[in-house]
Amino acid sequence: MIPTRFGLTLAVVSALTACAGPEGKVGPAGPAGPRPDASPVLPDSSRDAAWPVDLSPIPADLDPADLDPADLPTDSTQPPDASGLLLDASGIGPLDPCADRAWPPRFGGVASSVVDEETATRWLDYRASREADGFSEAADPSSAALRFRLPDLALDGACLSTDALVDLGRELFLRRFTAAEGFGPRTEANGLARFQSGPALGPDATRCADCHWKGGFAGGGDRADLAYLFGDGDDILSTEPRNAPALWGAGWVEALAAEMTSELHTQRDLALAQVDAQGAPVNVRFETHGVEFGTYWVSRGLDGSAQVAVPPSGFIDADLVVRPFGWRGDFATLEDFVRDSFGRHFGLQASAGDVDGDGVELELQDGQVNAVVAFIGTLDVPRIQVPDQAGVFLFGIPGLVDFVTTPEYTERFARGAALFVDLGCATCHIPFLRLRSPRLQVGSRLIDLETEGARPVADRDEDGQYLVPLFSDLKRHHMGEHLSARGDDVYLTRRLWGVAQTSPYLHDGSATTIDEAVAKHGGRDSEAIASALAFAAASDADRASVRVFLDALRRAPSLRVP
Amino acid sequence: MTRVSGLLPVIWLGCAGLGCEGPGGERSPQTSSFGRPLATEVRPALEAAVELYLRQRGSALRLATDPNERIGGFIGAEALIQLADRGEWSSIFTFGDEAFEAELSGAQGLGRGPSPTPLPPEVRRIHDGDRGGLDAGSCRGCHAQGGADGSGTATQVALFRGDGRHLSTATRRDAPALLGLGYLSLVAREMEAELQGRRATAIRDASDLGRRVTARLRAKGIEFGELSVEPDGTVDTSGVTGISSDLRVRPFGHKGRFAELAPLVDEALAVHLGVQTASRLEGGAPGAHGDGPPADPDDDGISFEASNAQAVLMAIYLSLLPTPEIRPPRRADLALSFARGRILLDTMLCTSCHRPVLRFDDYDLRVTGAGAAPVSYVVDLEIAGLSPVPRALDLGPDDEGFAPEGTPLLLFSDLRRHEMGPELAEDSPELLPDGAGQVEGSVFLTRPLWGLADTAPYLHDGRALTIDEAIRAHGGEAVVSRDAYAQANDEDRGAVNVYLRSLTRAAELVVE
Repeated sequence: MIPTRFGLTLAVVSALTACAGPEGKVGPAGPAGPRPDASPVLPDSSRDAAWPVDLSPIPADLDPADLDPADLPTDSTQPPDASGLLLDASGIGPLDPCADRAWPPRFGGVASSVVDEETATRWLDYRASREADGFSEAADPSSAALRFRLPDLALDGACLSTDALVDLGRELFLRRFTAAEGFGPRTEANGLARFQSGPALGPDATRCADCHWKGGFAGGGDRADLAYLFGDGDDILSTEPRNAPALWGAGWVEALAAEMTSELHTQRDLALAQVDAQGAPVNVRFETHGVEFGTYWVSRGLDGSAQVAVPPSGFIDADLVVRPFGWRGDFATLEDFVRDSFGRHFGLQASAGDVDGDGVELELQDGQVNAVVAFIGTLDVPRIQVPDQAGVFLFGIPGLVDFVTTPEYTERFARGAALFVDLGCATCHIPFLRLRSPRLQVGSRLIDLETEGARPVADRDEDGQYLVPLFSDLKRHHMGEHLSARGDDVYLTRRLWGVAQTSPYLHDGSATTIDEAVAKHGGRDSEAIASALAFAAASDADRASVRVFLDALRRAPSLRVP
Repeated sequence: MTRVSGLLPVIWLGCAGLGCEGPGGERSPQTSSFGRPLATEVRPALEAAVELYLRQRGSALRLATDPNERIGGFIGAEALIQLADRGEWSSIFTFGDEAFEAELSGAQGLGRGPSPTPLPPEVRRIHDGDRGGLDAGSCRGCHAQGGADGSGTATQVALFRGDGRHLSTATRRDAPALLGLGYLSLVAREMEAELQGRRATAIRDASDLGRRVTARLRAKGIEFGELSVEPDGTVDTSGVTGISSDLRVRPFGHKGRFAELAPLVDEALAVHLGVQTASRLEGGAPGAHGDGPPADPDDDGISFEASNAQAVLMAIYLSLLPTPEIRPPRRADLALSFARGRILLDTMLCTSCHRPVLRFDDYDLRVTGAGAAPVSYVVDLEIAGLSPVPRALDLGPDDEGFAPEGTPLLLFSDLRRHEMGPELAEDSPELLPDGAGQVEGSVFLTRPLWGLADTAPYLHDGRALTIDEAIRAHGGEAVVSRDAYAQANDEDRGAVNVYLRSLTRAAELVVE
């Protein structure tokens, strides 16, 4: 800080304002209601962060200029130690982690898909606060360290609200990590290791938002953003291109997968009891949430464990865990997915020790992973945007001409939806799966997506179950020769929600249009060949109707300030 | 890019970065003091963003019912040319905006055919020589960071002129932000006219005087060396520096590749999207784009993929975009760092190449296409340009009695090429597209720094992930400045970084 009277005064003002408690006007306006986490924050970091501040709450009888500088909070930033725990001034014992609630609100929690002036103002404030952060970090590059390497415990439920955790996750989603934070090692002199190779993989991106932007915040990637996996680092033909999918609704997917896994395991355990009673394997049909996972022999292995005779490359792994993340169904939880992505794309590993040899240990802490998971997991659900309802979703701004509302498109939408079923698309791209409990486990915190997640959330049916409109069965399928990569044609049924905003399509981004994507389903040995051929054989008008229907699979109109 | 921008207050630094508020009245009275517009301002911006959303949704639905309609919807249809003929630039902007964001399809000529390199389309990320690749699906695929018409991310770095397969053969190019290019063109054209004028004068003088004449090349205060003319009119350009010997000012491309926007658009369409304009069918060398028939050189089954007028209209669209802005920090200590940073840019001699201000006199921009009978339009950017449009402020004469003439453009470049040293040098020179020779591997155009904060990664190949890395990677003619920066104390380096972070753009609302 430049020791001028003005600068000093401002720090005092900021500190006072930040300490004003839950009702203090710190940072962007959060949602209404008390915010349990907004109680005193560390003055020095709030000074960095809580801009713009409203200066009005200064008590009239207190002139900051009269304060003795010696009484002011010190400006020094305590560097975190490698273990991630802050040490107290003596350097001996860890501080009470909750005393370091150094994460003041930014956006103020989840960003719902709402188009109104209040939300616009929130986004504009958010941009201003990010600009202020940028200036602080520019002046002192180490100033961000405290914010982004919070002790893990401080991120636990006892210290931070879910809103604050989501805010931190959003910052991490947008953050370009530095070499000091463990980004890399960088192996290329002239840029990123754009084609992955070897154990170090990348880094092939600088931040999550590099490749997850299309269609809105945390959306999909463009063709230019394709990741090139498993290669030799140079020859594009040695790589497997991967299209960055949109992340909306991911928390709902994880909750659904966990519920399905749990039920499949219950079915397996019941079968095991039968196996023990009979002393012989039993043949069991596994089905949950209306999705048929096949009929397999269940037995006890020599070590007493459950053995389910799922063939290799079947609908599901033999452990009967539904893994909904990754194009091939690689990860059961967002946490696994986030950990993999940070390591793969940025060279940020959670392991103790310096595994990637860039001189930084413990690059990714559990708290950071949790924050990113909380941010991604609470994203809104892309609900079906029926063409003639576009005006309804925008009622925050009455009186605008609705360009979209024409009976023709509504008709076509309805016809397209029927065709989607008739052509057999809906056999695998199941429109809705029913979820009983929309809860997402993040560390020790259980987030209720209905009350804490971004709007809109999934609808409920008459039985109180949530209709998650993901358009997938969360199973793996053989997709035939046109989609085979490195001899493997097994992929998880891609969720189609948001498909209208996230071209290019397919795992490798090779399809520019819906028609191309469908056609690629029609290769030899594809489970989808009948549907693909039926679509190709349909009339122009019918195919157009299907496309109109698919165009409705998008997020509710959402605001953003880039 | 919506038509309403400039939501957050613009502070034009009348006092050249000293951190003062500038002459009274520059801060919009409509804005609160906290960087946030009043509710009355949010609403029109919101309505504009919603209107754009609805238009895009409407287009998507029309498109869904007829993919071939994309061709008609892409800018350049006959109706649009009539609009351009009538000078209805706001309509051209609207259509250009949509075309910029539109995902093209194979029916529009996106992509290249199987010949001569039989690689599937998903692995066309590396360009196959000058034929290009298929590395994006739309313009915005690599120009969306920081806002509409912004820069590309680190993942979007283009891989030019490779063998189509190997990363190591490609020339990496970071996609720059596109704001303010129309005004950049105006400055470049005026500089060029000045230089060409000096050459013409020298030729005349040499002839009149009957002896060798040497003319110093100087335009808008920027030195370009000198040229000598013999009485017979022979011009010796060996003393020309920072510019090609044809004295064309080429402000576009990291190496100063293009003098004008229309050919840039034309090339970008061809190499990134595989869409060839008519001029490439007429004049292209056989095999330049592939082994296809003359009307479909890239052999993707679509003939006559785009007209020359389409490239011109897209260039006009780009020209109408607003300029970036300087948005200083509001916290008092950082505001002082900002001011100090601006002075340090001078003392470290950064501004000897990254010239803070170049001025232009005339807002009339001529945009000309390619071909035998080129389409050409004159656009008055003062009227047609989107806010913020650079404006001249009458500040009165300075201490020495001079009043600066022309409209200032705070672009932080001299629009001149410089030797940047072996560290940044590329293996091979870059051939200029209009046959005006080449640019050596270590020579690059001074990158305009306006809008810098939203455009990571930095440098021509995107090798620098931070501004600090970018400065430290400078060599060659910039070595003194680099060393000054590297040897400065943390506070001074911080101040420079604070100033550079203020080079940004207005906030805009997006509904998607």
